[in-house]
Amino acid sequence: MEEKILEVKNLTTTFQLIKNRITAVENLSFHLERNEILAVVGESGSGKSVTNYSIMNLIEPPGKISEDSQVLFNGKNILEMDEKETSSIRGNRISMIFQEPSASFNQLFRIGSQIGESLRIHNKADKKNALAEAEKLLKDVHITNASDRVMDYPFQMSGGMLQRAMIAQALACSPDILLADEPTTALDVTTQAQILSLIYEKKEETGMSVIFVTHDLALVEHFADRIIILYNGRIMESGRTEDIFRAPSHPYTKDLLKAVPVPGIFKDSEKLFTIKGKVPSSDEKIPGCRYSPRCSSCFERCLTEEPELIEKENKQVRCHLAE
Amino acid sequence: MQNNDKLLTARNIVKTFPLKAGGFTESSHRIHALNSVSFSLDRNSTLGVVGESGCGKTTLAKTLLRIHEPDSGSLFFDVPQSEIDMLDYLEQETEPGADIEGRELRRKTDFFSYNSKLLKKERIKMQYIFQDPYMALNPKMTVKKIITEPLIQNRMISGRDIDERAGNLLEIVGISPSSADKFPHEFSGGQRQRISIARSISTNPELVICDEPVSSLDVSIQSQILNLLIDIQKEFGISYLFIAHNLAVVFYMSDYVAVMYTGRIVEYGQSRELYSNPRHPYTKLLMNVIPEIGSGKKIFRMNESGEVPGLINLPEGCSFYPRCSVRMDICREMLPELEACGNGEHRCACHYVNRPDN
Repeated sequence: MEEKILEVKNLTTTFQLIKNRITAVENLSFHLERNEILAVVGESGSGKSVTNYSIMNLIEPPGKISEDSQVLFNGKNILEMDEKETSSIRGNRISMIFQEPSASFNQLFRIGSQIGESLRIHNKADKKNALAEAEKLLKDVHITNASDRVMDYPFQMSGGMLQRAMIAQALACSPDILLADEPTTALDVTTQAQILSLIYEKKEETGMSVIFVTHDLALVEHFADRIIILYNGRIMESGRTEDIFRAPSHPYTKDLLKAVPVPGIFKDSEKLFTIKGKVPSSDEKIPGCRYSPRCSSCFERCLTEEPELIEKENKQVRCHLAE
Repeated sequence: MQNNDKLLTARNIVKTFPLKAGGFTESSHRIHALNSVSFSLDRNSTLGVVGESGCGKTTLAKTLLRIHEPDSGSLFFDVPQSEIDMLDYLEQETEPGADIEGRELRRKTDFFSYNSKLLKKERIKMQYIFQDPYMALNPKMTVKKIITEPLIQNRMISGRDIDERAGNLLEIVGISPSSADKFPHEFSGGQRQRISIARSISTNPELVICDEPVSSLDVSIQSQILNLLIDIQKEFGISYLFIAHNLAVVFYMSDYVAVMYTGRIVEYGQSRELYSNPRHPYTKLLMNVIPEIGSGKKIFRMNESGEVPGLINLPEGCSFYPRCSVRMDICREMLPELEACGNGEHRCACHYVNRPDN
């Protein structure tokens, strides 16, 4: 079980713009075990999507992954591979699903041929076999009438169905890792539950690992095995899901947990807890701790000195108070 | 005006949209977005509207404002109850002349029958906050111009008072009045939503329609905006129609909640009552799939199936039938009516809940 399928070491991704340089993620290190769901939680501008794209080595200029960053997939550094080698991994060993399913399919091709595409490329399947396989994959993601649906164009399907089709496409070559970039954000709550069930079921069935990027902490409480909390390009806290929810150590995690309204409170009895200030944009340079301007337990040291990510009670925390 | 009057009474609102057939012809099929929606709203209170996308939440909001013209139905907005009663009496009366009088009165009381002049005057009292604060603010206008535009358009302010009023509005929503000459791009998402709110309250409206006001904001910002909306309500006595898909937020913000499905209200009741005693299987489903911290609910273990029926050919019976866990034969044939169930004004449109032996 304790096998690391992916290891990210010192990942720093920057974007060089005309006026300034944006550091989207800085010195990010984490690992992914076999058959686990790792949730990456963060607000806008925290660097969660950049992390995903960096793992796939899909950062394009002006973006740049720094030289000493490493993304080890089964011990081999993806960032040092040539284009041919990375292409053989993308969509094959590591595949990705995105937030907006309708924008991720080509509207001019039938669903079946788009799902079968990776099989034709990676497994050298012929057209007929790829289509038959696509039909089977659609059936696996619980789409009724799969034999008719493979001939549909993307616009003929609803959002939830398209997201299932995208999962079918991602699972075509039975990948080792599935990168899910906010796969349910654009969907209804009922469809969201269906998609989560599907990802969980496929993970159990195939033994793949999942990196699940989301902004919704409540969504991953029982879903993820481990959680990484990102803020302004930094890991603020990471650890096993139960530990984070039971005993959050970082003030940001604590605040986030309190800020989400839970059903059963009403405006006439309780005031909602608020986090002061605003979410920093990724080009903002905050001296000291990144969360210090909004933190309620901030003290002098936080303003000048950025805390290190330290081990504490099975978790990693970046806070002076935890030292 | 008496205080026990309803601010708003909507009756049997129907709205359909033509389906484009291509070319110049209009298809005979229509999308049935709102199917006989009725509700009322008290002064200084909030009605929450929840439902999945495509259930008609936004269409309802836009129809109330007559951004979409309704097909039929009536809306009494800020009209004394006595006049509504009078109208009902006149329209039922068979005496000669009563129908003419009735029509005359309807033109003066029914928001959907107002002529453009009266509409413009009355619509000032109804304002709108949009979901996406990035799209809702004109990037070429300064904040001052954005928030005072409704006042200038409606000639409610003289030129020399503009600066003062703008500063005052910005202060209410928690933005420094010195930012009045900045442009929208200089603000973050949360601050832009504050600017939208400032604009919506500039004309001292009676009703503000909030269409998913926090869904596009970051989690740590959402509660700031919700608290601001509540503070404004307390201070100015505004009523809200609060549209959202997150039940927790709707329960928190609202006095009454209406659950919508395929253009119909399927359950309605006081927020507390609906939370503690949901009756309709659709409301129960929604409550089950919403992730909540600390609830122990495993939403990824759900076995929910069935698709929402299309709005073009609505089924004869209950439209929730294909997804329902307690469906009966009658549900396929007959449309359930909103009937009283549980405490207070709790009402539910479900044959199973309203069956005689229950």
